[in-house]
Amino acid sequence: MPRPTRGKGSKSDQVKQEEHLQRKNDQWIFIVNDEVLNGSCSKDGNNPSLCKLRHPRLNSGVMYLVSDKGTNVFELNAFKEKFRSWFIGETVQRDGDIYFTTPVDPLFLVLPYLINAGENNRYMAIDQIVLDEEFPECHKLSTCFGKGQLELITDWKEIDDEMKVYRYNKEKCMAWLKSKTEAVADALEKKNVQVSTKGSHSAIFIRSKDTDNSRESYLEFAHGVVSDYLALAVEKELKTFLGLPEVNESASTPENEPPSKKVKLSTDVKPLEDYSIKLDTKKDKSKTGKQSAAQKQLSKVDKSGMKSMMSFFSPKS
Amino acid sequence: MATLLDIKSLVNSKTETCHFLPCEIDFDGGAKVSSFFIKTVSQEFSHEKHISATFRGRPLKGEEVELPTGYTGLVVKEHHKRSTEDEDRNLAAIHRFDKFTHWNLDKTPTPDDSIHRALQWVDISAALYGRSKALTLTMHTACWILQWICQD
Repeated sequence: MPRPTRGKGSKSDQVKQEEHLQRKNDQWIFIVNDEVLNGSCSKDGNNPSLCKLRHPRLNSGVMYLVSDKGTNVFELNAFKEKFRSWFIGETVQRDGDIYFTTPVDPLFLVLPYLINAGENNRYMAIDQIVLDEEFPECHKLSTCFGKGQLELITDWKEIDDEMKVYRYNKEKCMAWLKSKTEAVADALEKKNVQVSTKGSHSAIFIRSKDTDNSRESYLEFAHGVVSDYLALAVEKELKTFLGLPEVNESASTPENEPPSKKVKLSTDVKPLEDYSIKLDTKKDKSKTGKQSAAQKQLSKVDKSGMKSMMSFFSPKS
Repeated sequence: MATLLDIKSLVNSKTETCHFLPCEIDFDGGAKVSSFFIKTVSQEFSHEKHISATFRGRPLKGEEVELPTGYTGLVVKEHHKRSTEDEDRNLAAIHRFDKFTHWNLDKTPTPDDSIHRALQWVDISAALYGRSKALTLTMHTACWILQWICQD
């Protein structure tokens, strides 16, 4: 794995700072799924590990928690608030972050690899498809699929009892994503999550009636949630597949929201009173106006043939 | 190099009371929490679940937050810093908890507090994940077959 090499000596301050930061954080708060614990308490079970895998949306490395036998993948979500610390028993923990895990469908994580491999329209084995030099630990992904899970978004062929080869199938994938989106929309509806962006909402207010929480707005919101795991191109495809309208943000906002402040259209906006200018002239005046007797005398001296003091200190050309 | 979460150490760990404070304390280590902080905790009259306390003269209002079902809280510690980057990192779970007290600075806790909204993600992500693999599988295949029938 390529790693940035540190310069010798010159960056010692930075290293020190890093050490300082690291020294401060050697204890964290995790909230984990019981599956993480249960699987590992068995005698022969290994410990779950945190590893960096390619995030399908961001295309960069993100930490995931993979359970001992590589059967479950969990996302690590960080809850950070600016001023938070913990009392744990009779101790203080400065770091006030909470890291909580949520299970993630591994299909989301292999989808970019599948699409990539699907371009040449060949059937391949899963450990051939999921290959990543940048994130070598991605091989753990190939073991975490349940029976028939990969087949949800691929065409497959059985070579023998052990070996199966796969090819990405777009239509299947869209159907799968649609069911995901609907499941999320159902959950949002059930939890009565406020999905509309119109107006403000608060739990203290007694809501009259949630008229604007239509099924469509839930679906749209759910699509947004699912899209956090999809590349941009797939997100668009899903949107058309779901029959959701294209969002035209500039058109929809002025109707629903009160005008914030009058927008000045002219670009050449200048303040009516500019105090800074006045301040400057005052300074200049004082410079020329107030001079000590010695300074006045100096200014009268004939300076021809004299070098300025600074020239003695400047490097010789 | 991998980062391993040592769960086996949990066997020896005990449940601890955890307080989530609305301030940053620039210190890690022992403190007389029970004699200086827990003593100030009292029940609010207005709501049976709400409690109040004071910390350094500041009024705190809080409530107990139960972790979502199927979740366990862990206090995880890295006992030994690895010396090289190629070494494995070992994080050991030293305490566990199933609820904690969430404190606001002079503000009655509401379901709108960001911690509750963050924990909402637990339910939504569960829906995104699918409750059980087998269930979603049958659902998906059913969907898929249905689509085929509709296409023909």
